[in-house]
Amino acid sequence: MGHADIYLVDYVTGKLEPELRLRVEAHLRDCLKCQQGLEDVSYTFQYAGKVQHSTPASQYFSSIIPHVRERLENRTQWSWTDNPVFSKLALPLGAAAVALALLMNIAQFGPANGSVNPLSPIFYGIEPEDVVDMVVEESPPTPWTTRQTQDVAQAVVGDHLTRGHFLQDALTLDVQPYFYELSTISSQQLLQNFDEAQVEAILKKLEERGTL
Amino acid sequence: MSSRSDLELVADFQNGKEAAFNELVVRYQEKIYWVARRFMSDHDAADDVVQEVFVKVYDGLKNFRGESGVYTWLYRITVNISLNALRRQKLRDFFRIDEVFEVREEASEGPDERVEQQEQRTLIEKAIELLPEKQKAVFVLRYYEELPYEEIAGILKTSVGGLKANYFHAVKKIGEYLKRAHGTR
Ligand SMILES: [Zn+2]
Repeated sequence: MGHADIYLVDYVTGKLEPELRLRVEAHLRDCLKCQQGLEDVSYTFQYAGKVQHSTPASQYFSSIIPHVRERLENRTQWSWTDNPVFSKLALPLGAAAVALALLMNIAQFGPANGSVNPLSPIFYGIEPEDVVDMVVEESPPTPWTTRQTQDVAQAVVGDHLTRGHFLQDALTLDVQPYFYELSTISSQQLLQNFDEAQVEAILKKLEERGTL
Repeated sequence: MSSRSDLELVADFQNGKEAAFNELVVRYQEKIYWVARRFMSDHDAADDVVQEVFVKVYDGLKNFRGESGVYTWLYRITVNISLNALRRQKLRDFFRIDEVFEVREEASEGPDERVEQQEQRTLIEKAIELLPEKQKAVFVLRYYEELPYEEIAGILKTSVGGLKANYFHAVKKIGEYLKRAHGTR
């Protein structure tokens, strides 16, 4: 057999059939790499068994149906896509997503790690909200246009990434997956947690800040 | 309790019997809750996922054609919604959007829930949290739910070989993290 890595977890947790088990054991005798893998895997299971979540109160499960029914009824009164507020909020939220990406990025190169990114001193100590403002200011003043299939938040993220003014230098392999992840989050996913009252509150805050 | 099969219940629902939906909820709510809880760690967040899952199921049932089993489909929705919820949580934590809603939170939260939220997060939970999404999903479904690889492959729409590799990497990373945290490496 080649390396036994894909069998190691089942080996440790006793889920391998005997014949395969013997082959894994034979391989382990001669392979340092798999021995190391086995050690890490075993270490995990010394602790994994100890995670005990408290059981919910007994009446909890009988509350699920009423709660679900309630949600089903309420949501028909409130839909993001029908609401004009959606298009107003999409840009700041998209910008916020970019800002998040920026900040996460900068944090990797913060002065504490020995600064290599020339942007670090500029961004160090800046609050997420400041960056949101900055990004909004940088954005075109004309209505935000997107390709039809594109979500607005994703468009903002994508646009900034492709133009890459400030990100290019800092965009390392470590950070890249995070950006890809970010670009999969749609405005609606960002927003679907909020009800109308909450949106009002966010809007008010944004208005006070002059973002809208 | 009727002994109607999942597919019979789906057919009942599609024929206008609302009660069939309730029966599916009762049948699967505990399983779904525990999967969600493994992803989300705290009860409130898991409860939110559970409700969202069943809302989605309610909508999806109308068009459910049985390409996969009901059970596989439910697990798939649960994994997707849990992962989405984790992403939102990450973004929210970062921007502290909750600040805007301080008053509302205080009003809706009982003392018990507050205690639960303060529950000490264990090292291993933190290690799991750091895993890439796919590895996290495989770990929850295989280790906690003890599902066969073939079923997990159906739920995550991926190959068994890829899953086994994902599972190994997940467990190995958790082990490495724990070792570093315990200062043994
Ligand atoms: Zn080997």
